Amino acid sequence: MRRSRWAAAAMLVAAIAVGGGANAIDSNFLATGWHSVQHGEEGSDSTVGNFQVHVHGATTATQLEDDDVVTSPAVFVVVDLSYATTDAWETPEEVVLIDGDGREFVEPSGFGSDGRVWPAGPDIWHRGTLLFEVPGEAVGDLTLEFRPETPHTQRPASILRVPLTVAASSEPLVLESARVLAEGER
Amino acid sequence: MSEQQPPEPSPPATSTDTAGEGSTATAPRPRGARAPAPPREHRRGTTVAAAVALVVSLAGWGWFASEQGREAWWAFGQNVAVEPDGTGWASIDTLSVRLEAVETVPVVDEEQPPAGFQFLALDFSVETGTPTDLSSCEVQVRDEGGRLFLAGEEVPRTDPYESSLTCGTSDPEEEPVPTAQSVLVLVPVDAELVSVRVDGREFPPARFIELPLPS
Repeated sequence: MRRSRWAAAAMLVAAIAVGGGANAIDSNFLATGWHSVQHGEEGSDSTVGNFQVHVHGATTATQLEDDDVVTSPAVFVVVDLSYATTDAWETPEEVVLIDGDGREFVEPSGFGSDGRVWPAGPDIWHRGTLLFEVPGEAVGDLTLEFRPETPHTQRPASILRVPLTVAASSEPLVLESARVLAEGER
Repeated sequence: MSEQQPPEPSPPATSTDTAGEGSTATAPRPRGARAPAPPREHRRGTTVAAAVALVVSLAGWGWFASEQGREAWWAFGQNVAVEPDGTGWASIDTLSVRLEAVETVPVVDEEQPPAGFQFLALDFSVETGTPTDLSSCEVQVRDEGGRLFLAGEEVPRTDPYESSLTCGTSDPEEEPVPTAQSVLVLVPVDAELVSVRVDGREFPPARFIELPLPS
């Protein structure tokens, strides 16, 4: 076969391969949000998107101090964390917990405003608590997933995962309103 | 059984007969012989045309595929700064704003900023024209590193400071826009502040007001 025909055949194969690859990416990533996963650890600063995140730890108990003492049929988990942005004031889209089986737990409804995500400024760190309610058997293997923005179907995004060390408490858990930290504090 | 003979080689075809008989007829090409190659210039032109078509088609598809991203980036981003004229006034639509004073305030309503931060008070003159849908405009202070510090966040809520500018009204008679307005901004002590941005949801796409800060 002449060289030009080989070149034409190669281009045809390349075109089919590119089309197949694009289709695979579209099916597997774009339809559900295209994101990359970054991994952090407790006690250190991590950057994801335009957020800086520092997870202090987590505590679990069956009771929560929310005006009155509330008892959960499962367990409450309160995560203590700080975050700031790198550029402008913004509120993260969502923070969730994921257990070892891949189950996802969002902030429960019906409790006070403390325990939900808050806005933070550029290098203006806030520290506060987030509330979750999970089955008791999930507590031993929980990971915090920080989502700076909603995964977009046509734009890549990043999320941060930080494995949690969860301490048990016999006292009802208490939520803390987010407060601004002095420069250098976490 | 007769043996098949390969075709006789033929002389190269020419466009004119040079045999000297005055004939211009071309000799018939035997079966199996290759067609004459096109001139080199013709082949090069075809290659260039194919390459150009490929680049143009890829650019076209890329343009269509990125339409949503481009339009959102342009419409919702701060891309066209409207700067003040010689008298300090900057205008968008019916709104005109002038930065009158900038001052750091150590204590506001008996509240001090966190260590490493300070309260920055910004005083504005605001003028509006005819009734408009414009309602409030957010104020941000930009530093040399591009960080944007939003007015009204983590600052005391007390007179005369508002969390944003009132920059329009649908009823100028009953609810006129205050001509003198002030906001507070929490900024790091070591930030090198360069400008104040005023932006409104109802502003034309991509436009915002940028007022330089005195150095």
